[in-house]
Amino acid sequence: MVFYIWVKSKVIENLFSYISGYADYLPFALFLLFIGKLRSEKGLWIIFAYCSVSILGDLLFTTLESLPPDASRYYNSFLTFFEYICFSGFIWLSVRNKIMRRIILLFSLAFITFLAFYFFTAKRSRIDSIPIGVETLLILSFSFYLLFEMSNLIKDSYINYNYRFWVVIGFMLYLSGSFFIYLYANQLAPGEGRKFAVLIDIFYILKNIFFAIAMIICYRQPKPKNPPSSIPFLDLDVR
Amino acid sequence: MFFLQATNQSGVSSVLFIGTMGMLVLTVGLVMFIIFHQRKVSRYQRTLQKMEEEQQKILLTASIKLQEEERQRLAADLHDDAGPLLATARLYLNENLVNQDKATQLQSIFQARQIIDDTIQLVRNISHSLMPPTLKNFGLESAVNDLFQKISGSGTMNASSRFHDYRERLKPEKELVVFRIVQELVNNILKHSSSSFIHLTQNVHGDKFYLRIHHDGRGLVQADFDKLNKSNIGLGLKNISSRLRVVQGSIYFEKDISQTYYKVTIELPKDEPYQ
Repeated sequence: MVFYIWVKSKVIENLFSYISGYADYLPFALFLLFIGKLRSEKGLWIIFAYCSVSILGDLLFTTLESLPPDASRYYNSFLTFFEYICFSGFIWLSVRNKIMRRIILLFSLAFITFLAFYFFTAKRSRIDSIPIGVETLLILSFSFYLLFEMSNLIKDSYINYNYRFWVVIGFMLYLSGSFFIYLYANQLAPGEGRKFAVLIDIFYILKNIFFAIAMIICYRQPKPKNPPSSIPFLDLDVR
Repeated sequence: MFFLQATNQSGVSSVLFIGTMGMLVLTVGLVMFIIFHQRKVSRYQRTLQKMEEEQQKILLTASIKLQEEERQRLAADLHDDAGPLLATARLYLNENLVNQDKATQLQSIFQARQIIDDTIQLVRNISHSLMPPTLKNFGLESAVNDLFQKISGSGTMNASSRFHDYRERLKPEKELVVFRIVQELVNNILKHSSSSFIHLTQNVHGDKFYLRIHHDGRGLVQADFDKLNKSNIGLGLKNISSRLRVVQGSIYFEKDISQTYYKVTIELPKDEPYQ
């Protein structure tokens, strides 16, 4: 069997699950640590908000014992919506092409409408596979466009010196790695699903590591210095 | 279709595993392609930038050298011509003049006046070589026509010029640049080409201003010009290039299809009409 090895490595599974539970804290803490230099980057504020909501959600589900039976479903739907808003918002802020920006807005509106429609009409299931699938395809397409645009615009340095690159790689790895698993999540038996959860955990950890790299790269980037407003004896004295 | 039709648990597991791996390979592959492609483009761009900087450096050196040569020529003109003339005039007007008879005094004053007139003419010539008055007062068309008439008048070469559409004058600073380029080209033709005629035409097309010089002597084609521009010789040509860069113009050297004469075309963007 393909997954024979996973059965043998229960401890590693738990380890990944444990680390992934705390992975959001890494970019969250780094953002707070470097906030003085990162505050001007709107995109990183979005990532910070995304991590904050993930942390809050995790805390809510681990600390509160008596939750309504539908809480998990509502939370999953909200997370899909919020994740899409954050990821597409980051890409929208980074893309320079105005037409592409409009396209992103248009698709986002359509997707949100679809999400609302799906939430109220679709029958209840463990995970909202179809919206996640659509979200993945949309974000992956936007991400590829952003990378393509960046590769054309950045001429004087390498693309990986730009923090946006690492954030987008984080999106792409996480979404492409979890795409099929989420798509088939409702068809898997509960025990079977756990085997695949480790894969999602790995991509989730990787995504947060890339977010953290982005924060560090942005922090280390030299900011352009503005000349002082007045330099003595340089300007003509017109008084 | 196989992926979507898989129904049993092991089938779904295989689909999931293969699908996930496939997606990952695709994503990583595309990202790697973008990274390597961008690196390649970036390296190429930097090489181009470096070459451009070197070219700029050569042009700047040439321009400084030319400026220094011009200053030396001016200094030589003033020192060798105006200096001795004024010194001679001073000799005529020395202190002993008051002790001499009236006829000698008058003759000395006349001589001194003659010399001062010559000096004035000399200074005027130097000044005109720095900024032709025809160009300043009447514009490029008159200045170029004047230049070509002078060449033709010398009898060494048949020179003519014709402006087809110069109702909208270029800005004065642009006119000066174009005139200097024409002067440099004409000088080169006079010095090196041994041609029997030189003819200049002007016209506008769209938002571009064109000047074309034709001559039937030894000439350059674009490859020669580019080669000379990148080498350490050909100071005048580098000067033309740097001047053209200032006005965002281009120059093309070519031999006519008939193979009987050479053409040099200057192309620059037209300004808004100069009032």
